[in-house]
Amino acid sequence: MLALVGIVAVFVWVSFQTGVIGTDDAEYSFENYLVIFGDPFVYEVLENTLIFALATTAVSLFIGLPIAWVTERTTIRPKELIYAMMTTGLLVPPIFIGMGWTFIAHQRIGLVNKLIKEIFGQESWVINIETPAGMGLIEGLTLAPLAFVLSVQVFRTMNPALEEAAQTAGMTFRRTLLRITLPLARPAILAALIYIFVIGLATFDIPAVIGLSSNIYVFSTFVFSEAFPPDGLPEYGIPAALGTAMILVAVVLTIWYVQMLRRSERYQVVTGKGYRAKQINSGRWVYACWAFICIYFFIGLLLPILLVAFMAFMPYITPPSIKALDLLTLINFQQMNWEYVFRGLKNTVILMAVVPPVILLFAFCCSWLVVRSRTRARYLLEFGAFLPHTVPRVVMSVGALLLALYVVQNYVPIYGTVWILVAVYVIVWLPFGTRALNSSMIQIHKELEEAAYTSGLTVARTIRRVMVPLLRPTMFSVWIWTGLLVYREMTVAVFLISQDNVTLPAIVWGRWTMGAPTVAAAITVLMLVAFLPLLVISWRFARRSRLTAEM
Amino acid sequence: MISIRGLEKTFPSDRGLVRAVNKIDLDVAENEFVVLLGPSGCGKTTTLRCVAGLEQPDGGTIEIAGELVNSVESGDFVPPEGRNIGMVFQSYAVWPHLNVYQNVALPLTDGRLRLPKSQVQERVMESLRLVQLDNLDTRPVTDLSGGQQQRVALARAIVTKPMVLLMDEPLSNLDARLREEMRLELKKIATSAGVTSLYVTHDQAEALSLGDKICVMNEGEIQQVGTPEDVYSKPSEYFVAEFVGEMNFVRGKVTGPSQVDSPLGLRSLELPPSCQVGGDVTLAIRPQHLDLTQNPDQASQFPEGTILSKTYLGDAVLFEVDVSGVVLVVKLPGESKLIIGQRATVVLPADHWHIYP
Repeated sequence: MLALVGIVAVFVWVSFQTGVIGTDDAEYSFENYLVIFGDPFVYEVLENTLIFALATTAVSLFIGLPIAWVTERTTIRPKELIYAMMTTGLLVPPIFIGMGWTFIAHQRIGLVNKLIKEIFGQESWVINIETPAGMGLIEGLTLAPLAFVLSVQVFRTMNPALEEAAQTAGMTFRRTLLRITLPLARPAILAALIYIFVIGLATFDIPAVIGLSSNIYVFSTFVFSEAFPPDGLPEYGIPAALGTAMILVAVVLTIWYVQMLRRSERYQVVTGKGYRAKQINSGRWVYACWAFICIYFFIGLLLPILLVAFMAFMPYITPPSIKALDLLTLINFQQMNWEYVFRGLKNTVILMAVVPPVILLFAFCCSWLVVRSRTRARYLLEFGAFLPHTVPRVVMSVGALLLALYVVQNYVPIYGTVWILVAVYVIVWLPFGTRALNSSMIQIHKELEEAAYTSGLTVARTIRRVMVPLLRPTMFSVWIWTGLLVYREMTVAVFLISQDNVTLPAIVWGRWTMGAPTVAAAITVLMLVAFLPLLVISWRFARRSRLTAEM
Repeated sequence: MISIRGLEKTFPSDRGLVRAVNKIDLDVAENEFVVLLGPSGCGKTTTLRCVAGLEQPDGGTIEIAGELVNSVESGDFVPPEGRNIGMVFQSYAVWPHLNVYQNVALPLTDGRLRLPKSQVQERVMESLRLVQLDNLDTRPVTDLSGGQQQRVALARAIVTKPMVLLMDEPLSNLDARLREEMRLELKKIATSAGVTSLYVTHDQAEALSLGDKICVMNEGEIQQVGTPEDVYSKPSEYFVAEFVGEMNFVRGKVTGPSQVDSPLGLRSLELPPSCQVGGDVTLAIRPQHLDLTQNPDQASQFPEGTILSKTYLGDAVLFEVDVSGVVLVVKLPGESKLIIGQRATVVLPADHWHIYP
């Protein structure tokens, strides 16, 4: 919590400085703000960001929302399979999808564009994904599972009596849907929309993988290029100013989001009883539904990953064909800098081992205080745990970098070690853990805990013998999920890596930007192979719980 | 065994501070079964939770078995786990991740006593035998019915042989029939366990049948403390008369020493000393102490009314009778030939009247 405040404070502090930051030479002024708001290029970046975020939101909701409705409110089966497919989409690192889509739809070398040129002979018909809208489309594909998860909850917990009342009042199915179901779901859908839009404003992976090479900048990649210019000194003041402005926008949107969320909760059935909304017989429509889901799964997930896997065994980027099979090679694996990859693996493993338990510990304490205490401090904690949502991850990373370099470095030399990543990862995913535990802990009757006290158990023993066992399924899921999220995280790592604390996704990113896409693909394949068993575990334990909705 | 002095507790709410408990004094003797009775929000549960140590009072002292466990003035506070108590909750609060045996064993192995395994087995089974669940010891508690779960909770509360057993509406989540069965059994178990009990309920039938002593509470204050017979037949306050059992109330005026004028006519009654001539009083009488008759000989001195409703209860019949604008409820044992709309004379007894200023 303190660390977060520190990061934001340093960020704001830097945004007012020009000259050499953190020294006596630094001058305080609004100059950075004047610069960014006077620069036409910044406006272009902002426009790109807006288009990108809007496209992302539209695409993800267009896919995620119908699938959510169909899953919860029709008799389509097996629902577990849909859940598994969607949660997989949530966990696959977006950078892989971005790479895959480059292989699919790159203007020159993309598979689809090659086919278009061959079949139609029209150069101008090619798809261009290296535009804000094109990148937004792909980001939307990767965020569709999130839209699914955010809205599936609404359809599941909606009070069935409200719809039944409409039907007994003589309203047809279609009218009930239009006049009752959708208006009731509207606050929640709007909340999901805002949530995804905020992510779209700040996301880094896809715009970086696809857009940087063709100089299409959005907010996050602009911050990156300013902070890490290929030549010359990093310029922190300007990205800090832009980031501060972005935090303000995000705070406003988040407050709006929280209000929407509150409103939507009013319509929910809170009892934990096996209360299920009535399901509509999908009949023959079930085939159309499955077709929709499978097409999404194919183009959003399977196809990009297959192409990445294919490229891993190619000496250079080649669209798949029978002829290309002759080129199959292991050269990418043989020539890989294994020592470097192992270092990345080691760091990734350390992160996956350390971050989840630390998050659990903090989250447990936070939740316990929030849920059990009657004091006003709980509101502060609740808000604090929500705050990281409002700070874009790019901003958080640069802030942590600045904090580590200019403030903490003299006392704790944390920069360049894996521990700075640990610290930032914990801050980034603490809200996830806290909210997951909050909602579980609220469901545990207070008297279960009090019964332990009156039976003579101390607080420590009550936690160990009663609270932890009761929360075990949730804690286990949080553990696995944060582990997987750490595994896939690229943004923070890219900003904070040095030679020693490099992680696997950061290596993939490094190879990709250094013009070795097939090597990047090869490492990706290794990562995916390691990822599979974890994914299977997460399927087994992530009951169709609220947990995924806490993302 | 339990001694409460000047207990005070306020809660913050939307409308400012609410006084849940307002300076109450209460004593529970050894092996006594005391029931706190009152409507919801009267402070009875708060009082119980203060004794358990689950709430910290804002004023007063609490002693359990001669030990000062809570004194606001001196700042002493023994947390619940340090008190020699057992508690049964309204929601049963059996731990769902443990089976029946483990639920009852946990207070022994992890509570105040920290007994070795060898002694635990015997104590647990003894406790389970008492609540007649010794054949279900390996079942998951979540498989049990509500009544059985509450027995587990009871076994868990008495397994440590506490000095004091606290019960917070333990039967209110059970259905009506089971509630009556459990009520009898609860009393038996508490007696045979030889434990001092403090029991909270809003159900007056439960209070009357269980308590050695009943303490009626309202708005954070104690209205009356006494045996069930006392509380039922001599309600000392208007609130107690209204809350415990059925009661008819008639407003009247004191017209002379031991004479009251009311819609029921002029009556000679023994008045409490606080009633003065010319002042207002409320007369109260229980429905079963009234009688209805159509025999005019007897009727001369009694008021006449119209029967408004008739409710058949099985062992009795309940009538509502309109007597010059006042509706009286009359309970007649057995059957009755009177029907709705008939005129009848209400026979008023000489005693059984309660008079409140």
